[in-house]
Parts: sequence; structure tokens; C-alpha cells
Amino acid sequence: MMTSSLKSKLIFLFLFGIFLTLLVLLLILYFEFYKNEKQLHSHDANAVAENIKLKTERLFNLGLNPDELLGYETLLAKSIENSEALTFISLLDSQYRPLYSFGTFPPSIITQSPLTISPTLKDDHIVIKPVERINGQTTFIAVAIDHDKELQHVNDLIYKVLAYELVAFLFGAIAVLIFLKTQLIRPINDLISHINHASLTDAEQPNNKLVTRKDEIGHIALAFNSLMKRLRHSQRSYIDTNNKLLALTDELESRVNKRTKALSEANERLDELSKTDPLSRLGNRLHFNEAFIKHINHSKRHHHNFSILMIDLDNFKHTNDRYGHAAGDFVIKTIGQRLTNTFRGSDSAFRIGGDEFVLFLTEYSHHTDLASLAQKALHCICEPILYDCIQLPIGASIGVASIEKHASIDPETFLKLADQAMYTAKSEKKGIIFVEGEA
Amino acid sequence: MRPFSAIGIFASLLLPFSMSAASDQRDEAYKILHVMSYHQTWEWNQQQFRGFKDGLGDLSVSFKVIELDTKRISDEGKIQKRAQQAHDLVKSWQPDLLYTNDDNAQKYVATRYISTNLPIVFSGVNRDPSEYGFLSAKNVTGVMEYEHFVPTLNYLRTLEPNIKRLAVIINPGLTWKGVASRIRSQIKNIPDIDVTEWILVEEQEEFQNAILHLQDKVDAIAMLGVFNIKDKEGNNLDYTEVLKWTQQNSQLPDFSFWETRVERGTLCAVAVSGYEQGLIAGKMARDILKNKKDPASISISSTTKGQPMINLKRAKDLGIRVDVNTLLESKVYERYSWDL
Repeated sequence: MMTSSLKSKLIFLFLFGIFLTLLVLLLILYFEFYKNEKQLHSHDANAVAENIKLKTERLFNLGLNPDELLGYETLLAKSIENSEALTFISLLDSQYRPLYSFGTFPPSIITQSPLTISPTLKDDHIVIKPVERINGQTTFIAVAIDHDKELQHVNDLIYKVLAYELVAFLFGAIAVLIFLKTQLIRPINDLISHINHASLTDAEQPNNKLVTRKDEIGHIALAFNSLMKRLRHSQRSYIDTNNKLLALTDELESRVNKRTKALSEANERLDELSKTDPLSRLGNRLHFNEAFIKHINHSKRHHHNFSILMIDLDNFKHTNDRYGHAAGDFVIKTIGQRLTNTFRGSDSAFRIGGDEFVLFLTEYSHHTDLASLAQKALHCICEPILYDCIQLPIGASIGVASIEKHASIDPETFLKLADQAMYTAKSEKKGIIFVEGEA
Repeated sequence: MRPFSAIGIFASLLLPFSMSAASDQRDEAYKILHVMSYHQTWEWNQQQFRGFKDGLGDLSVSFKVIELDTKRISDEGKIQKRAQQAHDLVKSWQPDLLYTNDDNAQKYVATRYISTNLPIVFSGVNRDPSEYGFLSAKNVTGVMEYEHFVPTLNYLRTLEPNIKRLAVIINPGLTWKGVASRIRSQIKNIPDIDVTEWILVEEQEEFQNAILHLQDKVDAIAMLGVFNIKDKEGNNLDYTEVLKWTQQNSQLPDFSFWETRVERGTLCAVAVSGYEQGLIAGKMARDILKNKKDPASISISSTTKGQPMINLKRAKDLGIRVDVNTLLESKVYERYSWDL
């Protein structure tokens, strides 16, 4: 079965070529042998017939009659004894009937029986020559060529030639295989190995005997080496460029990262700024609105506790008016700081107005804890604030509303409730007022 | 008897040798005296002489020839007279080399010049060379004619397988002593066959009676020494007539060792080649003359291959059917020489 290997194809090609050549040679030889054999035997038959004719004429010239030829069969026998294909010879009378004969008449020649060789018999395998007699009737010499023996001889020759050709084919095939292996396949394999082992990382393609060859393989090896050299050069350039590009990219990325970070930080600050009251550092109204909805929804969904403390500062306007806005700012700032420090991260404090604060409380278990937390908020706000050695008179009114007491309420109403409670606390100067029913 | 031809001299036999100045450093042609045992028109002689000339190659040579004519002359005096002509020529002409063929030329001429400065090359000799003193001579070498007796016998037996008894016909001539000796030696090694009759003939009636007598005594006849057979008047019969009579009166297969016999009716032979002997002798002469080689350093040799030949007409007359394979491998004479 033919493989895709070039080696196999080449070997097949050469062997087929040799085989075809030998086959054609055999056929040509067969036809030539046959032709030559025919010619040779025809020539032999003619020569034998002529020789016997001359001898017979000589005998007749000595005065012998055809019936006086003692030992004539022996003469005939000797004339064809060395010929394989001449199997029959005869002296015929004027009626073409045999007077003396030797051998076997070839069955391939058709004659009538009893054996009479017709003068009109057209056959390449019989030669008839007239024998001249003085004062006598003409006799004939007939020599027959056995076609089967002729063919047999040709076949024997062809068998011999075939045997020699097989030997020649064998030696030829061995020689071809050796030649192909040493002159073609091995160099090709070397070339393949050379190519396979080539690496762009090598500093230089090592020279080997391939490049010293003067044939196409040497040219390929040289071309390949040249290509590899150019590739290496390109690769180095590429690597350099790539490195530069990477460096640039890194730098760019670094810069982008920096910028992004800066931007992110800026955004964060911006976000923070957008959501942070700059003075108190607590969430601003915007932040409160978002957080409030979020907390309510979360609390409702998960049934968590959630209360809001609406805080309004007492005497804040008075402080501003008396001690200046700087004092007022300081108060806001301090309260903001205190609320941040006092309440856990999950609780959130917001400044939603000039002196209004909201505090979200979520981390409590009982309502009593809530009251305690409210008190705590009140205390941290009402703790004295020293400004410029002056204790500022700041108090707070806190309205508390808990969502668990108003599960189905909407946020706006919930907020109003807390706000109302805060106003009640301020008006009644009670400090902390829970929404009705929550105390 | 054929008219006497005193001297057959070939003053300037210009032979078709290609002149090669580089191979022949001598300006003058070499002088070779050729003494033949028989006569010029004797084919056996002609074959040897032709071969000898071819063996000399491109060497520039001038020949003088002496015929001893011993096939047709048996008179000792006449032979000696001819031999003397050869000796006179040696003295006056001073040849560079003496070439003698067949045994009579050795006996009557060559032996006088043993261990002299005159190089001698012979061919067609049947007798043992030691009988002429050649083996110890420093100036003699040549080619022995060893007949192909066993091949001839085997050839004959392919035609007639049942041959067991042989008769050998020879004459008192020099040639046959050696031949007979070799036949006796070789026949022992051939099983189932023997020479049962050794016939020495000199006269025609003697010869004819012997042939007729042998018809039921042997299976085949070796027609060897059939020359110099004399008729009633004491004249040498033409051996063709001898062989012709044999063909007409003998029903026995016969054989010999020379082509001329087969041509004249002897059934078959694995013939010695006169040309081949002459060729080897000619090469020896060339070595001696051109390359200044010592004759003693050239070993006496002999021919080894014979040519099977058959007289087909004789075979038919004897009722022998010849295998076509044998015919094709042989030189075939379709008729008798007198039928031409």
C-alpha cells in the first residue's frame, strides 16, 4: 500500500521503472528471439537442404540412381542431428513422395496422408529444393522445421533471460535502494532533522555537512539557514519592539492605573463629597435619602429592626448668632464626630439640615435597647462643647420611630412620624419622644 | 620403349613467384638441381614437384631437372648413365641445393653427396633413411613417404566388411622392402585379418598366374609393386596395361596407396599425397637457402593425412554397393583411365 512518504514513492518509482524496463526488455527480447529463431531455423533449413541437394547432385552425377543410394538415411540423419528444430528431412521423387526420409514430420504442418508434401504447401516451416539430375526426373529435398520445438527453444531462452533478469532486478533493486538511501533519503532526513532542530533562539544555525553539498539539498539547507538567520533577526527586532511596546504598555497601564486610581479616588471623593456633609463628615441629605429607602426595604424584607432618630439641635441658631458661624460650624463638626465615634458602622448618622440630624439604628434586639441608644445619642450630643474656651449651650430634641412597629408604612409617612415625634420633643422640651405607641 | 630423352633440362623455369625484395637478400636466383626417380610426365612426380615449388614460396630459383625414369627403365647401365648426368651437373653447375624424390634418386645420386657442403632435400622415400646414411648426414633432410596401410585397409573394409585374407603383390624394386616391412608390422595390430600371400613378381605370366591363383585364396589384393613387369621379350610392361588386365580378370577387391592406381582401376586407396610431400620438402629447402638453416637441424618428417579415393566403376564391376557417405568423403573416379 502506498504511503504518503516521499521516500516510499521514490523507491516505488525506481523499482517500478526498473521492473518496467526489464519487462519491456523481456518482451522485446521475446519477439526478437522468436524472429531470430525463425530466421535462424529457416536459414539452417535452407543451408541443410542446399547441402544435401549438392551432395545428392554429386551422387547422381557419379551415375547413381535414386534407388542406389546406400546409406542415404545416415546422410540425412547427420545433416540434421545438431539441430533441435529441424526434425525431418527427405528426398522426394518427382511426385513429392518420400524416397528416403529421416526424422518425424512436424504435426504442426498439415499435409495429406499418406505423407505427401505438396509443392503448393505454403508454410514457413518447410523448405523444398529441387535436385537436378542429368537424364533423369527431378527429385526434391524437403526439410521441415518443427514449430513447437522452435517455440520451445525460444521459451527456454526466455526463461533463462527471465532468470537473469530476476537476478539483475534483485541486484538492481538493491543497488537502487542503497543509492536512494545514501544519496537521497539520508540527505533528506538530515535536512528534515536540520530543519526540525533549528530554533530561533539559537544564536546561529550550526553549520553541518549539508551546506557543503553542491546539489539541491545543499541549496535548500543554505536557503533554510539564510531564512532562519533573517527570522532570527526579525525575531530579535520583534522582541525588542515587543519589549518596548510592553514597556510602553506597562507605563501606559501604570499611568492609566494611576489615573484610574486617581479618578476612582476622585470619584470616591466626589461621591463622598456628593454624599457627605463637609462639615459634620456625616452623610448628607442625598445620602440619607438613598440609605433610608435601602434600610427600610432591607428591614421589611428581612424583618430586621430599624429605627430612625430625628435629631434637631437646640440653641443652634442662638449659638450661631452669638458666637458666630465658626462656632456653629464647630458645633456641627463636633457633633458629627461624636455621632461617628459613638455609633457603630452599621448605624448611620446623617445631617439633613442646618441643625438636623438623623440617626439610623439597626443593631438592637429589644425596644428597651432602642431607648438606651436614643439616650446615648442624646448624651453624646448634649455633652458640653468647648469652643474657644467657651462652653456652647447645645441640646437636642430627638424623635424616634421604629419600623417594626409600622411594618406596612411607607417611608415618607414613617419619616413624618419621626419628624413629628422630634417636633413634639422640641416643643415639650422632653429630649426624646417615641412615636405614639412605641414607647 | 619410349624414345630416350637425354637430358630434361629446364634452363630457366620462371615460376610465378612474387618477388619480394625484402625477403630475398640475394640478387641471383638460387640454383636447385632436381633429380627425379621417374619421368617428368609421371603424375606422382608432377605432384611432388608442384608442391616443392609452392613450398619455396617467393624465393627466386632456377631449376635443372634430371629424370632417372626408373618406372620405364630397368637397365642398370642406362640408369647409371642418367645418374652420371646429374653428377656432372653438380660439378659444373654447382647447385645451391639438391632435391631428390623417391628411392632410386637417393640410391643413384643423393648418397654420393652425403656429408658434403651440398644441402640435400628428399621426398617420396619409402626405405628407411638410415639405409642411405641420411640419419647421420649433416647436410640431408626430407620427407618420408609412409603409406597409409591401416587407413586403406579400414577403408576397404567399409566396402567389403568380410575381408580377412590379403595378398600383397610387389616387385624386387627398392621401394617395396620398406613398404613390406611396415605392412608386416602393422597387420599384427589389426584383428581378424592377415596377409596370407606375399607375391613377388617380375614377369607378366608370373603376375597373371598369381592373380588368377589368388581368386579363391584371398579376399583382397594389395596391388603395390606392379611396375617393371616384363613381357616375354623382356620389355617393361606399361603398368596401366597391367592394371587393366587385372580389372578385366580379377573379381577380388584390390587396393593400393596411390591415386594413379585408383585412376587405373584399383578399387580403392587412402592415398599418400605427392603434393603434400613436395610442399614440405619445398619449405625445408626455403629454410636452408633463404634462412641459412642447417639441414641437420630440420627433422626428417612424413605426411600424416591420406586422401580416401575409390574407383566407382570398379566397385560396380565387382558388385560392391558403396555407401553414399563413403562416396561423399572420397575422391571418386567414375571410370577407368582407358575409358576417357
